[in-house]
Amino acid sequence: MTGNQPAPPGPRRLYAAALRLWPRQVRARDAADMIATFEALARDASARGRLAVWTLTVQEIVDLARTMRAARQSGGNLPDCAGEAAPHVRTHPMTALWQDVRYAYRMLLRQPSFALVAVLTLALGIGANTAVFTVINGVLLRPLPYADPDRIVTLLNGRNGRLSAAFSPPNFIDVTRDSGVFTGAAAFMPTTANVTGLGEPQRLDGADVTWPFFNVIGVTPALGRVFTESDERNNAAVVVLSDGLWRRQFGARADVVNHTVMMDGKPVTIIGVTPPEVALPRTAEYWRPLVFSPRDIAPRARGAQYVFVVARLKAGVDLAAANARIATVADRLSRDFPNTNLDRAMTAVRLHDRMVTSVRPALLVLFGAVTLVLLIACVNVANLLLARAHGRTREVAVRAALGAGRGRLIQQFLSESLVLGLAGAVGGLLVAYGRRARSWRSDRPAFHGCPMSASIGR
Amino acid sequence: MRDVARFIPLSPQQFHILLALTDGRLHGYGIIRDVAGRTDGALRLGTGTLYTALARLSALGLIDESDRRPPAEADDERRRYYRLTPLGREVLIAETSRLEALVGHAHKKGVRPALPRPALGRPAGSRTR
Repeated sequence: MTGNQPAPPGPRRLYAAALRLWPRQVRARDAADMIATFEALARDASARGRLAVWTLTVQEIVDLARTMRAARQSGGNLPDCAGEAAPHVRTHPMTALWQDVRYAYRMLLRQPSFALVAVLTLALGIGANTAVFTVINGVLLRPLPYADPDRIVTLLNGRNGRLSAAFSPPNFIDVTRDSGVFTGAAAFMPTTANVTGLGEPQRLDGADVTWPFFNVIGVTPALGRVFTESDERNNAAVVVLSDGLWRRQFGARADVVNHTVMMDGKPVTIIGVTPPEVALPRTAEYWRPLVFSPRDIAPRARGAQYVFVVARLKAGVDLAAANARIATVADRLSRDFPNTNLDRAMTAVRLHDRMVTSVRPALLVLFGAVTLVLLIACVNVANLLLARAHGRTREVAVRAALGAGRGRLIQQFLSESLVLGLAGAVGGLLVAYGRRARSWRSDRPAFHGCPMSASIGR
Repeated sequence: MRDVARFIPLSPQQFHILLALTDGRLHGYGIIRDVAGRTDGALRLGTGTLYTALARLSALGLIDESDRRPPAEADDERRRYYRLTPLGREVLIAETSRLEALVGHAHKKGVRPALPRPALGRPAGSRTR
């Protein structure tokens, strides 16, 4: 059945492509014959329909793949190779890779200037990226270290679209109580205090906070207790210390609770220590109770905006719903107290968003810049590798002549790139670590507590 | 008799290929058709199987390539024609007597196929080497 109609071109092309799996020597001898045979078979099959042709094609390709190894072994025994070819030694792929890696390492040692330039270029690019991404991860991506941080909001208010975080105590009380969307709310005010009685007198940053403050942000003390309503009622002279202050001034002693220190000349009792991650306001090292006097919450005080607000949304209330309720209250206050509150808008934003608004664009621009630096570094190294590869054509020719296949050669070159890349990455981590240690151990608290980390986000 | 013993046993595919070449020279397609026809389609050699077997058989010296080609108008110049060598014929005969002896032993023990099956074919549809 050698009809005159031509064999279907698609299956023939597929078959010819699959035949490329076979070793070159065998192909050189048999490929044309095999394709002729396949064409004849395909013509036979096409008499039985297209499906038969495709079935045949698939069967033949599977058969080619299955006999590939046998063909490779027979390739060494071909009469036209005179049977004198060296015995075909099969190396395990991992062994070959290890060989390549060691060889690459030796090659790089033999050309130290090339290796140094390439690794340094990569290290600088990767290091800059790692360092900047570490900060982005810590500042922008990682959530606040408090319980259920997405529900923690801060409030803004202001006129003509100029919003500020500072509230007057009466406005704070009215909006957090009347909107009914918070499980708790607290006002806080950054303060400083002179602390004496601990060796050298010191001036410390801290905050005065209304008693629910730690409950609102969801912090349980590492030691002792946090404020309760009775502290406010009794106007108690108590203080909660930060982890840092506790370690620095009290050597992390567990019996610090109930110890008395002098703050601004008055004796104050230490009642608790926070966990290390608490930083609100960012530089705070102590927290004292903030108690509003009758003057503070008198109607006339509504115009004095000086406390900041942190509040926790009720479960099931999203930010938009909360803001609708807050706007209603703000409208009412605007009508009731036109002297101070006319057109005063109020809105809630997530505390985390508020904390990073000022740095987000700068960080993203910086990240874009270092990404470009990394790209440039990669292009440079690629050029170096290209130039080097060009000088190695002789070596490649020798390897091919000794029987290295295309895949094996590619593997060798990839191994060299792998070694370079790994060396660059290690160098990059060192660069990132060094940079972090030096230039960001500054007063910029946003960068405190950004450990390098393999994970993103949490 | 040369040292034919070292070539046997033959695989079913090798046996069929040698058998196909007893009538004279054939190309690959001819061998496939011959084997399939003789076994009623039970043994369909794939091209990969066939050509690795051909390479092996010619490396062993059981077959070789024939220079005689059909007249030009019926020829496809890509094709290669194979023929049995004298050694190949000896091996084929030796293998046949080995198989015959085996079958004889089985018959003496009363082992017979329930239904006639194609000689030495694998189960229908099988195309393994």
